[in-house]
Amino acid sequence: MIYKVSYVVVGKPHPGEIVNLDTPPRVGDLVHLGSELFEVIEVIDLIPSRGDFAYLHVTCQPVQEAT
Amino acid sequence: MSVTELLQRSELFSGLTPKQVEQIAALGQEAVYNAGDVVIREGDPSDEMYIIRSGMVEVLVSGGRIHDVPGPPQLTSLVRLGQGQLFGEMALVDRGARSATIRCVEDGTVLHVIPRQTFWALCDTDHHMGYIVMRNIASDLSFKLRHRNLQARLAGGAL
Repeated sequence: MIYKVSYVVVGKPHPGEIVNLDTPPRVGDLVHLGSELFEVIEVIDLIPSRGDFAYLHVTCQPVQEAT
Repeated sequence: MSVTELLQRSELFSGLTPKQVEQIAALGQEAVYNAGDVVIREGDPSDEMYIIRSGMVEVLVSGGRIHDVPGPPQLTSLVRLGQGQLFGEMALVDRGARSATIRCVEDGTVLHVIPRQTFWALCDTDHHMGYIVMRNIASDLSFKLRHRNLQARLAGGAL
Protein backbone atom coordinates (compact mmCIF):
# COMPACT_ATOMS: atom_id res chain seq x y z
CA MET A 1 0.00 0.00 0.00
CA ILE A 2 1.15 3.51 -0.80
CA TYR A 3 -0.07 6.22 1.55
CA LYS A 4 -0.73 9.53 -0.16
CA VAL A 5 -0.58 12.00 2.70
CA SER A 6 -1.72 15.59 2.94
CA TYR A 7 0.12 17.37 5.76
CA VAL A 8 -1.41 20.58 7.07
CA VAL A 9 0.36 22.60 9.76
CA VAL A 10 -1.37 24.52 12.54
CA GLY A 11 0.30 26.96 14.91
CA LYS A 12 2.56 28.65 12.38
CA PRO A 13 2.48 29.64 8.73
CA HIS A 14 3.53 26.66 6.62
CA PRO A 15 2.31 25.50 3.20
CA GLY A 16 2.10 21.84 4.16
CA GLU A 17 3.09 18.95 1.96
CA ILE A 18 1.64 16.18 -0.17
CA VAL A 19 3.88 13.11 -0.22
CA ASN A 20 3.70 9.35 -0.78
CA LEU A 21 4.74 7.17 2.15
CA ASP A 22 5.27 3.43 2.62
CA THR A 23 3.92 3.46 6.18
CA PRO A 24 1.02 5.46 7.56
CA PRO A 25 1.75 8.30 9.98
CA ARG A 26 0.39 7.99 13.52
CA VAL A 27 -0.59 10.50 16.17
CA GLY A 28 2.50 11.41 18.19
CA ASP A 29 4.94 10.81 15.35
CA LEU A 30 7.57 13.45 14.76
CA VAL A 31 7.95 14.41 11.10
CA HIS A 32 10.27 16.67 9.20
CA LEU A 33 8.56 18.97 6.72
CA GLY A 34 11.49 20.56 4.99
CA SER A 35 14.02 21.39 7.71
CA GLU A 36 11.40 21.86 10.42
CA LEU A 37 10.19 19.28 12.94
CA PHE A 38 6.50 18.79 13.67
CA GLU A 39 4.35 16.52 15.81
CA VAL A 40 1.42 14.67 14.27
CA ILE A 41 -1.74 15.51 16.25
CA GLU A 42 -4.43 14.04 13.98
CA VAL A 43 -4.64 11.44 11.20
CA ILE A 44 -7.85 10.89 9.24
CA ASP A 45 -8.84 8.91 6.15
CA LEU A 46 -9.42 11.68 3.66
CA ILE A 47 -11.20 9.50 1.09
CA PRO A 48 -11.64 5.73 0.69
CA SER A 49 -8.58 3.82 -0.50
CA ARG A 50 -8.44 2.81 -4.17
CA GLY A 51 -6.14 0.24 -5.73
CA ASP A 52 -2.75 0.39 -4.06
CA PHE A 53 -3.36 3.87 -2.65
CA ALA A 54 -4.70 5.04 0.70
CA TYR A 55 -5.44 8.73 1.18
CA LEU A 56 -4.71 10.33 4.53
CA HIS A 57 -4.89 13.80 6.00
CA VAL A 58 -2.46 14.67 8.77
CA THR A 59 -2.62 17.71 11.00
CA CYS A 60 0.62 18.58 12.76
CA GLN A 61 2.04 21.32 14.93
CA PRO A 62 5.51 22.62 15.72
CA VAL A 63 7.26 20.41 18.25
CA GLN A 64 7.99 23.24 20.67
CA GLU A 65 4.26 23.89 21.06
CA ALA A 66 3.64 20.28 22.01
CA THR A 67 5.85 20.38 25.09
CA MET B 1 14.52 1.07 -8.70
CA SER B 2 13.77 1.43 -12.42
CA VAL B 3 12.04 4.45 -13.93
CA THR B 4 8.94 2.33 -14.50
CA GLU B 5 8.94 1.15 -10.88
CA LEU B 6 9.33 4.73 -9.69
CA LEU B 7 6.50 5.93 -11.90
CA GLN B 8 4.25 3.10 -10.68
CA ARG B 9 4.48 4.73 -7.26
CA SER B 10 2.66 7.72 -8.70
CA GLU B 11 -1.14 7.74 -8.47
CA LEU B 12 -1.20 8.83 -12.12
CA PHE B 13 -0.40 5.26 -13.14
CA SER B 14 -2.60 3.45 -10.63
CA GLY B 15 -4.57 0.69 -12.36
CA LEU B 16 -2.26 0.46 -15.38
CA THR B 17 -0.22 -2.58 -16.32
CA PRO B 18 3.60 -2.35 -16.19
CA LYS B 19 3.60 -2.37 -20.00
CA GLN B 20 1.21 0.59 -20.13
CA VAL B 21 3.34 2.47 -17.60
CA GLU B 22 6.36 1.79 -19.79
CA GLN B 23 4.47 3.17 -22.80
CA ILE B 24 3.71 6.42 -21.01
CA ALA B 25 7.17 6.63 -19.48
CA ALA B 26 8.67 6.35 -22.95
CA LEU B 27 6.82 9.51 -23.98
CA GLY B 28 8.74 11.60 -21.49
CA GLN B 29 12.23 12.45 -20.47
CA GLU B 30 14.15 13.11 -17.28
CA ALA B 31 14.95 16.63 -16.09
CA VAL B 32 17.06 17.45 -13.03
CA TYR B 33 16.75 20.68 -11.05
CA ASN B 34 18.41 22.22 -8.03
CA ALA B 35 16.94 24.13 -5.11
CA GLY B 36 15.64 27.50 -6.24
CA ASP B 37 15.25 26.51 -9.89
CA VAL B 38 11.92 27.54 -11.38
CA VAL B 39 10.39 24.70 -13.43
CA ILE B 40 7.29 26.49 -14.64
CA ARG B 41 6.16 30.06 -14.18
CA GLU B 42 2.64 31.33 -13.52
CA GLY B 43 1.07 32.78 -16.65
CA ASP B 44 3.33 30.95 -19.10
CA PRO B 45 1.92 28.72 -21.85
CA SER B 46 1.61 25.07 -20.86
CA ASP B 47 2.71 22.07 -22.86
CA GLU B 48 3.89 19.44 -20.38
CA MET B 49 2.96 17.51 -17.29
CA TYR B 50 5.54 16.61 -14.64
CA ILE B 51 5.90 13.68 -12.27
CA ILE B 52 8.30 13.98 -9.34
CA ARG B 53 10.57 10.94 -9.38
CA SER B 54 12.59 12.19 -6.41
CA GLY B 55 13.04 15.40 -4.47
CA MET B 56 10.59 18.16 -3.60
CA VAL B 57 9.01 21.20 -5.25
CA GLU B 58 6.78 23.98 -3.97
CA VAL B 59 3.70 25.47 -5.59
CA LEU B 60 3.64 29.27 -5.50
CA VAL B 61 1.09 31.85 -6.56
CA SER B 62 1.54 35.56 -6.95
CA GLY B 63 -0.43 38.03 -4.89
CA GLY B 64 -2.38 40.86 -6.46
CA ARG B 65 -2.68 41.45 -10.16
CA ILE B 66 0.31 39.91 -11.89
CA HIS B 67 0.72 42.33 -14.78
CA ASP B 68 0.09 45.60 -12.93
CA VAL B 69 2.70 45.26 -10.22
CA PRO B 70 6.16 46.51 -11.14
CA GLY B 71 9.12 44.38 -10.10
CA PRO B 72 9.10 40.72 -9.14
CA PRO B 73 5.71 39.45 -7.92
CA GLN B 74 5.22 38.54 -4.25
CA LEU B 75 4.91 34.77 -4.19
CA THR B 76 2.97 32.74 -1.63
CA SER B 77 3.76 29.05 -1.15
CA LEU B 78 0.57 26.94 -1.27
CA VAL B 79 1.97 23.45 -0.79
CA ARG B 80 5.07 21.35 -1.26
CA LEU B 81 4.94 18.22 -3.40
CA GLY B 82 7.21 15.20 -2.96
CA GLN B 83 8.06 11.95 -4.71
CA GLY B 84 5.26 10.47 -6.80
CA GLN B 85 3.24 13.67 -7.05
CA LEU B 86 2.39 15.33 -10.33
CA PHE B 87 2.02 18.92 -11.39
CA GLY B 88 1.20 20.70 -14.61
CA GLU B 89 -1.64 18.23 -15.11
CA MET B 90 -4.16 21.05 -15.53
CA ALA B 91 -2.40 21.80 -18.82
CA LEU B 92 -3.39 18.37 -20.08
CA VAL B 93 -6.99 19.02 -19.20
CA ASP B 94 -7.69 22.65 -20.10
CA ARG B 95 -4.70 23.88 -22.17
CA GLY B 96 -4.76 27.10 -20.18
CA ALA B 97 -1.79 29.15 -18.99
CA ARG B 98 0.13 27.98 -15.94
CA SER B 99 -1.90 28.79 -12.83
CA ALA B 100 1.07 28.67 -10.47
CA THR B 101 4.84 28.83 -10.33
CA ILE B 102 6.70 25.64 -9.46
CA ARG B 103 10.08 25.99 -7.77
CA CYS B 104 12.39 23.21 -6.59
CA VAL B 105 13.26 23.11 -2.91
CA GLU B 106 15.79 20.26 -2.97
CA ASP B 107 19.00 19.90 -4.96
CA GLY B 108 18.94 17.09 -7.48
CA THR B 109 15.16 16.95 -7.79
CA VAL B 110 14.39 14.55 -10.66
CA LEU B 111 11.27 15.11 -12.75
CA HIS B 112 9.71 13.06 -15.52
CA VAL B 113 8.40 15.44 -18.18
CA ILE B 114 5.58 14.29 -20.46
CA PRO B 115 4.55 16.45 -23.46
CA ARG B 116 0.82 17.04 -23.79
CA GLN B 117 0.48 16.25 -27.49
CA THR B 118 2.20 12.87 -27.43
CA PHE B 119 0.37 11.95 -24.25
CA TRP B 120 -3.02 12.70 -25.82
CA ALA B 121 -2.04 10.82 -28.98
CA LEU B 122 -1.36 7.71 -26.89
CA CYS B 123 -4.64 8.08 -24.99
CA ASP B 124 -6.49 8.48 -28.32
CA THR B 125 -5.13 5.15 -29.49
CA ASP B 126 -5.98 3.37 -26.22
CA HIS B 127 -9.20 4.76 -24.79
CA HIS B 128 -9.27 2.43 -21.80
CA MET B 129 -5.82 3.54 -20.72
CA GLY B 130 -6.81 7.14 -21.39
CA TYR B 131 -9.87 6.73 -19.17
CA ILE B 132 -7.79 5.32 -16.31
CA VAL B 133 -5.19 8.09 -16.55
CA MET B 134 -7.81 10.86 -16.74
CA ARG B 135 -9.62 9.34 -13.73
CA ASN B 136 -6.32 9.38 -11.85
CA ILE B 137 -5.68 12.99 -12.82
CA ALA B 138 -9.17 13.92 -11.59
CA SER B 139 -8.48 12.06 -8.34
CA ASP B 140 -5.19 13.92 -7.88
CA LEU B 141 -6.82 17.30 -8.51
CA SER B 142 -9.56 16.38 -6.04
CA PHE B 143 -6.96 15.44 -3.41
CA LYS B 144 -5.18 18.77 -3.86
CA LEU B 145 -8.47 20.63 -3.55
CA ARG B 146 -9.29 18.76 -0.34
CA HIS B 147 -5.84 19.67 0.98
CA ARG B 148 -6.53 23.36 0.23
CA ASN B 149 -9.96 23.16 1.85
CA LEU B 150 -8.50 21.64 5.03
CA GLN B 151 -5.78 24.28 5.09
CA ALA B 152 -8.40 27.01 4.82
CA ARG B 153 -10.58 25.41 7.51
CA LEU B 154 -7.69 25.00 9.95
CA ALA B 155 -6.54 28.55 9.25
CA GLY B 156 -10.03 29.84 10.06
CA GLY B 157 -10.82 30.62 6.45
CA ALA B 158 -7.76 32.81 6.06
CA LEU B 159 -6.81 31.43 2.63
